[in-house]
Amino acid sequence: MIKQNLSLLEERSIFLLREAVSRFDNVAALWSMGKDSTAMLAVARKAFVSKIPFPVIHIDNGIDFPETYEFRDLLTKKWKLDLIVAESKIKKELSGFSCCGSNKTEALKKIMKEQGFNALIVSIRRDEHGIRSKERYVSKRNKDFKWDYKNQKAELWDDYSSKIEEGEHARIHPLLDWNEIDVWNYTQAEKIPVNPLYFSRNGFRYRSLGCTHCTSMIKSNAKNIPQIMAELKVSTTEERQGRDQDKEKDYVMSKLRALGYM
Amino acid sequence: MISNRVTLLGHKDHGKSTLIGSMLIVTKSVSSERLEKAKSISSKLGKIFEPGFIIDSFEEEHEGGLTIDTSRASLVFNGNFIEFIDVPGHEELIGNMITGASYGDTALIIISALRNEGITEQTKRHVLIAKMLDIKNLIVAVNKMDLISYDEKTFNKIKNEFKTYLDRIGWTWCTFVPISAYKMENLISRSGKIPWYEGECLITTILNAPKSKVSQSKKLSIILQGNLDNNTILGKILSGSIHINDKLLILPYMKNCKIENIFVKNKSSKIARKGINVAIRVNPPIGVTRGNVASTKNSNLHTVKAFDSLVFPIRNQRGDISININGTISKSLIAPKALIDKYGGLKDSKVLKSLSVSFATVRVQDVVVIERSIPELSRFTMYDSKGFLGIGVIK
Repeated sequence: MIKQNLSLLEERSIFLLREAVSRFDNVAALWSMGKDSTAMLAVARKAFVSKIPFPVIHIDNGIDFPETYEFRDLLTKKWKLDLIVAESKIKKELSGFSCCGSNKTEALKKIMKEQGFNALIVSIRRDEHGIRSKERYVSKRNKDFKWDYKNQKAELWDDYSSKIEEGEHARIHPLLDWNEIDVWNYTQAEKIPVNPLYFSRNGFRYRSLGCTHCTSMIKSNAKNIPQIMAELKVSTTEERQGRDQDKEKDYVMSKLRALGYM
Repeated sequence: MISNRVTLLGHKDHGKSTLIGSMLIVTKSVSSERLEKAKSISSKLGKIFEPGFIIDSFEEEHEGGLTIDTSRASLVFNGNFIEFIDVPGHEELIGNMITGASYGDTALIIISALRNEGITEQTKRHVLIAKMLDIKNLIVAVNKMDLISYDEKTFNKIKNEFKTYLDRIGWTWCTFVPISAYKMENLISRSGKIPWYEGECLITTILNAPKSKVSQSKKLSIILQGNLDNNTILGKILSGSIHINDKLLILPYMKNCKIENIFVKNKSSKIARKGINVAIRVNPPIGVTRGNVASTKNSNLHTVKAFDSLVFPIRNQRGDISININGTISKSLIAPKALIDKYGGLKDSKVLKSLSVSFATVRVQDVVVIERSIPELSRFTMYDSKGFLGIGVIK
């Protein structure tokens, strides 16, 4: 895995976060308490001189790990975050597609409508999944949260101007250029608090975090960030290997994203 | 680590995605899982495995066999980082192609050596756009050499014909490399199949390409994004540097203020340079909007309502045109004078012609800030009632 220049990545992300706040009047960010969205909040603190000017949304299906809830409350206090907890009810059987995917999307739709958000900061990265390599920094979603990936705006020369109609919203992706290893490198360099689930206990750890039902551990002895980075350097597997939904079917992720999933 | 960004250009089906896929395989930069997945998808679709499948991961792409959007892939070779940007080859997706091309330092154009493929109008158009986007280096990979028995004569014929065109449009640095993306020949080491070829393999050619020099304008320009509070403005320094107590001139309003404090990230700093996103506390307080520019009096940035430029529309114009120069959106009238024809020469033309590069005078309704020595302040995007119309570069 390739490490990139952190300072360049950070500058670009700061620019994008400021662009989001400047272009849209009602911005919110998604925060899963995972490493990516937490790193994004650390960048946002730098972009806006320590005070994050938008609320952060946790879509809570009630079955996240206890460590995750603890981590959420700790950091909310420490960074004075404006936290919105959006409750997600689990309706169908507990497969990957229904505990996180579409149920979480429903909860997100509800909260976005209630609060009138027209821009949502999402900490996805291009290297996570094939389909995410097609994403833009600012990407429009229609009223039904659908993504028209075939008809995307040419985003050249920092031109992120985008007309958002009533009911539509823009997804802002400030970490799109980052790789998995960059996030760890940044987390280490900036001493960003980490959800303890990422570190090895009894020979296993989580590499990617969903909820308790759709995430499984990988074999690992990495107990701290340098050890995780050393592990990634020689890894030949995909980051989301512990996520059920990617494994179900080749095109599930493609479908989930078309439905508005993060 | 030295970074190399390479944009792949060329006609559809001439082998761009295959080349990136093969490069990832030969440099061992793709996970075994992803490779297996690509193989299983191709067998499910009843096709012979094709390296391009590794990056073309959309369902529709596999079935249609074409790249829909820009995708990127990175690899490390002997300690060098290379990022490939694959752009679609279809004509209707040229907007995406422009986006992809604008990211790269080096353009790698692929021309199929097959007799019925070869140099096409699209091939020429792609290099013309790359030239307009100010990409300095051009590598021409003549692909599918395996299908013509690695024939030297065919390679030289394509080389000579294309070189004539490139000379006319003014490329100063270009080099030709024969390859087979599918058979992975001449990619990361010299191929034994082409003893007549005296140059380097493709990856060495990429690594040897001159590094592009970023413009070093001394004039101060900060592109502003808005206010953090009444006294603090947010922006990115495009050129020059700022110090506490410097005087700023905010364009296009021509308002003056003094720098009281500079925040780089969340720390106070006495100085900030090019490339840094800053928060600046100023006195008196000033309200700014996206697209305003902070500079100094003696930098003499231009605030204008008309300028000459090169424009490239990706389709026929529908309704009124607006342009976006670094965040300022303004209604415009574009009056073409001449266009560059398919031989690389100039032809008189008073109409805005789709998929052609034209010289034109642009008149804007609102005053805009331009500066030819600063790339960000000398280029623009065009929109009409249908959306993205094309690009322009101020000359």
